[in-house]
Amino acid sequence: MQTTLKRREFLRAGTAALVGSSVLGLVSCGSTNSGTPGSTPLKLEFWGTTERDKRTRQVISLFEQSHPQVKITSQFTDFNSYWVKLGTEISGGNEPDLLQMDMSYLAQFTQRGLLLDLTKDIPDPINLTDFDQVLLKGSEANNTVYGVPLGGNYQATFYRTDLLTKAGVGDPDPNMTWDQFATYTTKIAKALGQGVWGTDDGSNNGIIFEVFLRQRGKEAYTSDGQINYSKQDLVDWWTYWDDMRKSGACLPASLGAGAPTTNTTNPPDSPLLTGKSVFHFDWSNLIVAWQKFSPTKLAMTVFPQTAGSQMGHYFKCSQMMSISSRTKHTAEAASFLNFTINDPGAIKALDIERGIPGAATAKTILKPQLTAVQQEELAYIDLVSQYARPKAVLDPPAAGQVATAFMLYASKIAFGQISIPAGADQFLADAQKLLKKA
Amino acid sequence: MSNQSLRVVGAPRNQAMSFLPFTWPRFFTHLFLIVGTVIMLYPALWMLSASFKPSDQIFSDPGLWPRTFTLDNYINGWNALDTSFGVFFLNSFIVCILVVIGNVFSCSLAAFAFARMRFTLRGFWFAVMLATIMLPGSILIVPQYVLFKSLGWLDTFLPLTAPKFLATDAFFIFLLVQFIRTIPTELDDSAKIDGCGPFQLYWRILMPLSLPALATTAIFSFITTWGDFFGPLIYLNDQSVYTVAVALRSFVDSTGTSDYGAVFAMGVLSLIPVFVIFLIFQRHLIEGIATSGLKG
Amino acid sequence: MTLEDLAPSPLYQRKQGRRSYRALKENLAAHVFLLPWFAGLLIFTVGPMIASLYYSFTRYDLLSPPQWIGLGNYVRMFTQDDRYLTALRVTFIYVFVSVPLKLTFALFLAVLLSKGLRAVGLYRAIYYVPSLLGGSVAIAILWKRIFGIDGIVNQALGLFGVTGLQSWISVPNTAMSTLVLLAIWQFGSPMLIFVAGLKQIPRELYDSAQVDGAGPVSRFLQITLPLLTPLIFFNLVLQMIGSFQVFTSALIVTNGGPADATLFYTLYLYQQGFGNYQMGYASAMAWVLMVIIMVFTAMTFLTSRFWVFYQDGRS
Repeated sequence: MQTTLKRREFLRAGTAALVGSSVLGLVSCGSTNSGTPGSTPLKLEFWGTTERDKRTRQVISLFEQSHPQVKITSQFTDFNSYWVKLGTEISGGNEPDLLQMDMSYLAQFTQRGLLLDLTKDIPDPINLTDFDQVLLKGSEANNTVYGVPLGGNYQATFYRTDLLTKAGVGDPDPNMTWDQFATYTTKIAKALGQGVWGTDDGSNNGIIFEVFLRQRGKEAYTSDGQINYSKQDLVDWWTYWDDMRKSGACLPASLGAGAPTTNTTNPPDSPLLTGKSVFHFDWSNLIVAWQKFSPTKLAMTVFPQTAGSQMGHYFKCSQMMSISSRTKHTAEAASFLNFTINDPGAIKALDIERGIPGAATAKTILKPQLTAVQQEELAYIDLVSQYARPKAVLDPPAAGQVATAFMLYASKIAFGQISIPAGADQFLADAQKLLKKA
Repeated sequence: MSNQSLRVVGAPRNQAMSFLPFTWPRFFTHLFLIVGTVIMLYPALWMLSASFKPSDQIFSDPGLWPRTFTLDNYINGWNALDTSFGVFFLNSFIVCILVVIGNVFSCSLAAFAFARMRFTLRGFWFAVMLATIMLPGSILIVPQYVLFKSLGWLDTFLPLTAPKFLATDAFFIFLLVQFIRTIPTELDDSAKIDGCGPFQLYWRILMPLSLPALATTAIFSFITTWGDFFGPLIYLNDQSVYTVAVALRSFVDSTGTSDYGAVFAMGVLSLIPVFVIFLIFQRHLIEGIATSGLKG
Repeated sequence: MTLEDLAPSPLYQRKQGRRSYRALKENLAAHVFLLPWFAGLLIFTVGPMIASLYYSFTRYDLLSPPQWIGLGNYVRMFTQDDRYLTALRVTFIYVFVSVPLKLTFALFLAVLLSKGLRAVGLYRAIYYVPSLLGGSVAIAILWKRIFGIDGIVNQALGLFGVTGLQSWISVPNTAMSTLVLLAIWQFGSPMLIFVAGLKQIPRELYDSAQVDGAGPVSRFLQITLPLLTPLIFFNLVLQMIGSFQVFTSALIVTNGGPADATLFYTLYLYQQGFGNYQMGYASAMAWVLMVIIMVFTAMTFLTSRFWVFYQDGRS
């Protein structure tokens, strides 16, 4: 069912695409231009919400306009249900042609040979010459391209500017160290009184832990998929946050490290937005979603640093689009991938909702249509890239399970159910078991 | 069991059958029920109120009465997907009604056999029937998916409805068995003496007497199917055959920008049909008894 | 006691000579009645069940074919997986606390709402609404709010002067209770079944008992309760089976947290099977659960001969 609004929209976008394509000459128009419209069906699946669905459908319409013999049907669901459905489809031999892929599943899917190796489709039809090479490299498995990144994001800290003013402290300095961060947030918590804490508890957050490790010069995993950090790293990390809990600087267990995390916890009911915490750790592209639910202004800054260390942040591929290795329509699917990342109409349609696009022209194309919050996001990207260096090792298949174990032990420690050294020992033992199995 | 003569009695609905263990004044009963009502209804009322609030106020405005009243959530939510929610509601209705019909007929047939007939290995089959309820359904999804794919039933309502016509919801078989067993066999006996065969016994005597149980089966079938999203998630690919339950999952995800207003608005709308079905059928529970004949 | 005794027997005159002929006819007729169920069993249930049993002896990640590992999954469950043991413990506590409470409320309200009170139909509908809300986003959000540190429960307790209260839902010791309350809150289904059953009890029985001088308490204990036992039994068995398999509420409200305090069995199974793509392990867990449920159901059936009264001739 198409509404008139939609038709108008894609006519407008379609015109822009034609103009754009004649200037840039990047859109491969009808290379397989034979046969009747809709003769090549492609199935596309992704995760997200209605917002992302609208944009994706726009891209599909644009693509079908210039490739009338291809008909793409798309489906989406929430992140967790996506993998349930995808796994079932694969086990039944019914996988979609185009599938959105996440870095945490990439290793497993490539090991099972489920994703198409795109090497021979580059540069034609998939043109990656003006594509962000850091982003691209960070999305590869075994130095091979298995999908095109649809966006990248950086780790970020969101914070409540209004609460900082209320506490009488200035904005955080990007060069602040972990110790300085502890002092800073303790001051904030004291100033704001009962029921408000300085920051979220990061002890159960594998993402910040990874950044912390990289500041110490090590990746989280070795290239053959083993844990690359020591018990001491864990003890240092968990002790730091334990001290923060004790001093009241970060959230107590029941609100922070131990609080249940479900699909509907964030953002509206999060401590940041309910005024219990001033700092929150997340991904840069989610600032839009968070600001939407926040009546007060949220600002962004980098994670605390480790003095005299390496840079910890890295540009992460937020999601990519891959082709199933069992697809019957490689050419059309690859053509669609190229369209998605290079076509100006597509870039405009997708906006930065999935993260920062990789095409060099993207920033210029998108600039006119970015909202204030999105411009802040871009400004943050410029800032954090100075504190980043590329991630060298892809997470092994069992990394997700290790992350779950990490969260579990962190919450047990937070609730005092286990001591830090014992927790570290048990976690490492569990992690090794999990990594061996995979 | 005392002798009961056959006579039709229409019990007046307002007749107080005071077999409560305690003799409470009416007042306290009503007070209790009203407090209970608040507890029962609060989340539904919250959801209703949230559906009329703008997105950024849903969580910040704590009161049940919206500070700012808007219909945006309903309008946006209805058309948020490529297919309008009207189609989803229609699909859900079709699926649910088919499931109700399938369950009522196939489960009552099986229940009659278990409850009233003697046959080889009856105990064994009864245990098998119960066993099918004991395995978590999510585990069977993968092999069932392969089965339905090979039958070519994906993207249709068939995986959700066809099995129900073959009594795969053993829950209702068991329910109906227990109900039928509360019906004394004297009527069976006299009917048999009059020459009734098993099917007439089933159709003419026991099914009318089991109307409360059948109504319960219908209500539960409808409500469970209406809210079931796992089956539709896995078996339905084409959005035009989506049901409401699976469509409702499109609005909220922590990896994207969630639209809570829309999910609450569509959630409220999706509550209405089930609530209405419930009201209609639960009246049959009472009327089924009053006109059922045997019961005095 | 044989399985045969679990199912009822019809009562009619059996004349010696005609017995075998009649029995054969009835046997045949019964199988005809059961034909849809047999077909459904064969086509849709048995095959998938056998498949899942097979998976339980394999390592199966959905993405590649299953690999046989024999009893590996079962060994892992009981000797190498602390979280599995946690899930068992959590689920047992949940079942044995929530089921009796839920049934008690269901029966109590059913009795209350079977009287000729005004607007009884409306009340019944209202008390059923919680069951309609099932796995909705609203419940997920609200339950956390109501039992959170600033929630209504704590506010109400504050009115009574209770201070220093923690969040109920995100503290390991009390998180389970909030989910038990959620289960009890949704007592509408068993309540409805009880209502239907209560309505089937003939009024004459009460009338004659009243004439004989029996008060309301003894009427309840001598008439209502005994005649309701088949449905109490049904509700007990099915609520027990259902709560061993409870999943949605744990998934959307607490996702197993905090610190695995609400890691229900089926939730853990689902996380392993579909989240970690370990379908072999999840299948093994499912079959173990089935055995556990069977054991408890059989026990309930065994005790039923002492307290359940059917009207078709047995006991």
